[in-house]
This record gives sequence, C-alpha cells and structure tokens, in this order.
Amino acid sequence: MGLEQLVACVVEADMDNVEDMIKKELDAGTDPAVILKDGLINGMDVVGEQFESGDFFLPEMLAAALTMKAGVEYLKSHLVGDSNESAGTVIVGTVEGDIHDIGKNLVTMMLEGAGFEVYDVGIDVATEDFVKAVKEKNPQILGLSSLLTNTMPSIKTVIAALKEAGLREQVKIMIGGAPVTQEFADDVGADGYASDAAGAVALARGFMGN
Amino acid sequence: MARSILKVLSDEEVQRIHETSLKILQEFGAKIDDEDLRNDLVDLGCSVEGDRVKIPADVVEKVVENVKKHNHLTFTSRTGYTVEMNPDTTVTHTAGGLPDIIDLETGAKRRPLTEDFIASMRLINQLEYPEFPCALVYPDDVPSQINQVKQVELMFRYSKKPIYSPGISSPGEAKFIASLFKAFEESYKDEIKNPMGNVCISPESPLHIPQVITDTMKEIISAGIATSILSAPVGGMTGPLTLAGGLAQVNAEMIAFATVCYVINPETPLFYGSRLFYANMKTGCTIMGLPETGLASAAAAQMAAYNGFLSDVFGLCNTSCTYDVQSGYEKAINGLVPALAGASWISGFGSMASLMVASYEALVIDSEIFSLMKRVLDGITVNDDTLGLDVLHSAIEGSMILAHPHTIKHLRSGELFKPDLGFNSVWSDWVKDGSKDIQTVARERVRELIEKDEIVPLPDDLEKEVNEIMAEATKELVK
Repeated sequence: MGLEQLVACVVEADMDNVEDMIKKELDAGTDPAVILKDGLINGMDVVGEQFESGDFFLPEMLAAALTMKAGVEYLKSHLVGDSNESAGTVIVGTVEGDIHDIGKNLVTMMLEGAGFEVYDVGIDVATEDFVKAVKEKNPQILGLSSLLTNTMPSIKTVIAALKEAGLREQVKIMIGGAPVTQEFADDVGADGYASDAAGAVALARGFMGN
Repeated sequence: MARSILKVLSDEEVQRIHETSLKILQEFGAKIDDEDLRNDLVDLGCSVEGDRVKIPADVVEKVVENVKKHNHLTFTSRTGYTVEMNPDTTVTHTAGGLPDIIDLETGAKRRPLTEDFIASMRLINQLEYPEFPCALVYPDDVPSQINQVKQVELMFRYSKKPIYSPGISSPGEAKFIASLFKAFEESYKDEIKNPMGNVCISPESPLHIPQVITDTMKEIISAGIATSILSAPVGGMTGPLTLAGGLAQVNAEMIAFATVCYVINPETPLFYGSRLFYANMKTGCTIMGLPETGLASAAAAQMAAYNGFLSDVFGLCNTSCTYDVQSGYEKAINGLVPALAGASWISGFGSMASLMVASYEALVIDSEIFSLMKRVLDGITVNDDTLGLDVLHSAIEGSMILAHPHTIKHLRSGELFKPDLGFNSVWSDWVKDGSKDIQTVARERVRELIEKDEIVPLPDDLEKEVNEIMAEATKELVK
C-alpha cells in the first residue's frame, strides 16, 4: 500500500479505515512525519483543490477534515518535535446572549482541518470568560461569532474588555456571523472579518503569516 | 380568499411526514432544559429521559385538537384596521430584524436608526400589503438590551395595522413586551375586542427548547399573546438536507413547542411558523432565493393545515442584493408557491440579500408583487354571467363588446389586474414617462406615501403608561 491510498482515504472521508491505513504504514516502517505530510496533509490539499474547482462542497470538505483530524489524533503519539506543530492557536466562541453555534462550529472544524489548535469556548459566552480564556490559553487568534443583530454589540464589549485587561495587542481578533460586515469589523476595531468558514481559515492563515 | 390550489405533497406524503414526526417525538423527544416544565409534561402524559421529553401520540392528539380551537382569529389595530385569519385566508407581513437598510437618498447600505423604523411603519400604513408590519429593522441607536421592547413600542405607536412583533429570545424583554401588549389592549378595550398583534419565538434546531426560550414563553404564552412558533432548521446543518426530512423535523418541533405551550396556557393561539431554509453549500451562508425556500414553505403550509394550525412561512425572500430580474423571479417563486398552497401568512416583504438588508423601495415593490399574487389566488369565477354567452351573442348580432355593459361591469369588479406601480403600456409611453425602472418609480412613491401618512397620537393616559414601562425596562435591563 502506498500513501496515495491514505490520500484517497482523506479525500473520500473514509473515517472507518483511516486508523488502519496509518497503522499499516507505521508497521511498514514509514516515518510518521511522512505519513502526516504526504498522506494526511496532502489529502486535505487535494480536497482544497477540489473545493476551489467547484467539485466539492462544504459537507465533503468537513467530512475530509474530520477524517484527517481522526488520523492526526491516532498518529500524534508517534510524532516527535516540530512535525506535530499546529498552524496556530485559536479561541472561538459565540458572544453573550446568542445561543447560535452552526457558524462557529463550521469555523472550528475548518480551522482544525487546516491544522490549527482550536479551543471552542461555546455559545452565550460572557465577556469575562473570553478574557479569561485568552489569558489562560494565550492564543494568537480570537474568533467571535454573532448571529443576532442585538448581540453584535457584545463583540465590541469583548474587544474593549481585552484592551482593559492589557491583552488586546497579543491576539488577532476575527469576527463573523450573518449580520456582521466588514464595516462593523472596522467600527469595533476587529482585525478581520470573514463572511464564511473558508474565509475565516484564509484570514487565520494570513494572521499567522501563511 | 385563499384556496389551496397547489399541493406539493400528496395526502399520503403529508401523512407519512406526520407519522415520521410522531416517531421523532416518541423516540428522540425534545430537549427541554426547564425541569419544572419537564415535570408538568410528565403530568400531561409525556415521559422523560434525562433532559429529553418524549411525547406520545395521544398527547400530540390532545395538543393538536386544542390548536384547532384557536385557528380563527381577528386582529385589530388601535386605529381600527381589522384582519381576519382562518384556514381560508392568506395575509402578509414584512420581514423582521434586518441589520441594514438601503438609504433612500444615497442608495448606500447602512445601519438603520429609529427614524428608519418609524418611516418604515408609516410607509407600510399607506401600502395595500402587507397587512401586518413586523419590526423590519433593528434600530442601531437603541441600546441592544431593550431594542426589541423599543421596537414593539414604536410599532404600537406608529402602525395603523395590527403588529407582528419581533422574534423574542430574552425573558427580560419579554416581560416588558407583554406589559406593552396589556397596556395597549386595556387602553382600547371599549372599542377593540380583538388582539392587536402577535409575537414570535424560536425553538433551537434540532428539537431543543432552551431555558432562555421557555422563560420567554412563560412571559408571553402565559399572557395569552398569539405566537408564531418559528422553527428554523437549516437543511444539511441543523436538520436533514432533504426537504422531506426537514419537514418532518419542523413538524415535530412545532408540536413539541405547542405541547409546552399547552401546559403553560392552552388558550394562547399558535401559528405554524415554518422557517425551513437552506445554505449555499460552498460557503455555509444561508441564502433565501433558492426555489427550495418556496417549495418547503408550500409543503409546510400543507403540514400546518393537516394539523389544524394557521401557517406562517417565508415568502417574498431573495438572495439578490439589488432590484433586478433575479430579485423579481426569486420573490415571485418563493411567494407564489406557498400562497397557492394555502399558506396563512406570507413573510419577507421589504427584504433583500437573504433577509440581511431592508429597503423602502422593496416594501413598495413587494406590495405590488403580492397584488399580482392576490389576483392569481382570487382565481376564476365560473357562472352563467362570467361565461358571457349573452355578450358573445350580442357581438354576433353586431354590438360592440368593448362598450358592452358586461365588459364595463366586470372591468370595474376587478376581472383584469390594474398595476398600481408597475408599467402597463407600450415602449413609447415608457420613454415619454422618463424611461424609469421599477426602483426609480418605487423610490418616488416611498417619499409620497410617507409624507401622506398622518401620525395618530396616543391618548394621554396610555402615553404616560407606555413611558413608564419604557423607563422601567431601561432601568432594569440597560446596565
């Protein structure tokens, strides 16, 4: 078996067989870092190309990302040093008063698929809890989501609270949600806005200099 | 007026979807955070596993029978505008809670202010449709903690039509909204015996009624305020991608919500507010112009009718961000299909860009679009007179059909649609009139209509009471 089969496994989101395939490669003596790079990551690159060309849609993309995540989890203990390094750390959450989570969950899964370490702090998250999470996890990026027009002001409140806590400069803030716009992001002093989950990944990569 | 001319589901398919909903309710149940309510539901005959309440068929039957008792309603505004709703009527309301508006002067998108909210109410007063304004926009200059209370206050103040209040998800605001309803209905109780409006509340999909929502329900449903249950799964995200699966889920969520309402206050009228919709599966962003929006709304109208509810569905919704052909065909398809299927309430008026942007011009254009639909819904009257044998005979005998009393009589009675806004002549006339497109004509009409609307002040004692409620709401909610 060659790594092309593992690539196909990610592309086809064959969650049931991903661990077996990785195990066989490990048993055959393939370097875990090579399995990660040429198998799993390469599989997601193919998925990304299919998505860009219009052949794949969000469900296929997410299913592949979940398969890759399962593969990485399995492979993790075999990886050493830099080969297990994440693309960056992100905290995501839906702001206070808002219990919607689809957009946030999509962003979380897409970021994880892109190799970010993501801490999802949930929905209806109080401002002080965002501040606490930033203090504790020290992420490079904070993602704030709001679906309701009346909860959008909470985004501004979180940004103000981070400033007051002296944490604003150490984290890039990206915001999103159906009623959120670039103009709003500019108004409240966020570092970026994305209209969809794929845009959020591109934004996060940009923040990390990739 | 409404006649269910169109069936997008056969009777057998309706029944099969309903049976699937029963299975969902019995086997999966609904997650209900509130422990006291869970206990009340057990007393009603439900069973509980953890925080999930399983609803058996006999309880569903009891709840549905009760819903049917409240499906003939009359709403009257404080100025006397009256709307009848029953299983044979189709009426309309605007979209609600849109975060942006197109500026009438500049054409640019911007955040709406209180003055936009008031102007939209005054414009709707002067339009034939919709019969109900919703809180079209979120005024950006009002604190978010009391924004919905303020919206309801402004609607009662400025609307001459009964109101369709915003979707409420905060018990704190719900309390003051219930107080406003009480204050207005008490103040006019000698002249007006009917409710002055409704509110809407949304469960979470799939099958979850969170604590914050049941707390809101306790304020609104206990007060007996007619409520649209807005069940809004997104196909492929918070519900099955398939329309049949989404419809079964919506139906189950409606019944679960109605069951909770039954134990809070069985006398509250409920509407089957299906908001089943879909996303662009490339981006995950929900878009409203898909034909599935209209198809799902039509099917929901059939499901509602099957269970004896009045329905409340999407309608004049689009994805288009301008006043173009795409906007027209999306609104026409998504409005007409559910209207033909007998939907009780058609929504979406005044919206564009997938319910994210409000527009004054769109309000005026949508009134015209629905006038066309109304003509289609009115259908064709077939009787001895309309069959016109006499007029045909006279023509054969040599008289003019054009000047015949039969022609004049039926022209006057509305046999042929006469547009109020749209162009209905020939190219040379269009050029002579300035070669205007529909947006330009609508914009001119907006100014004219708002100017025409006269504000009716509140009686002094009500003015005082409303100000007190708003002051108290501000004190309690704005920190």
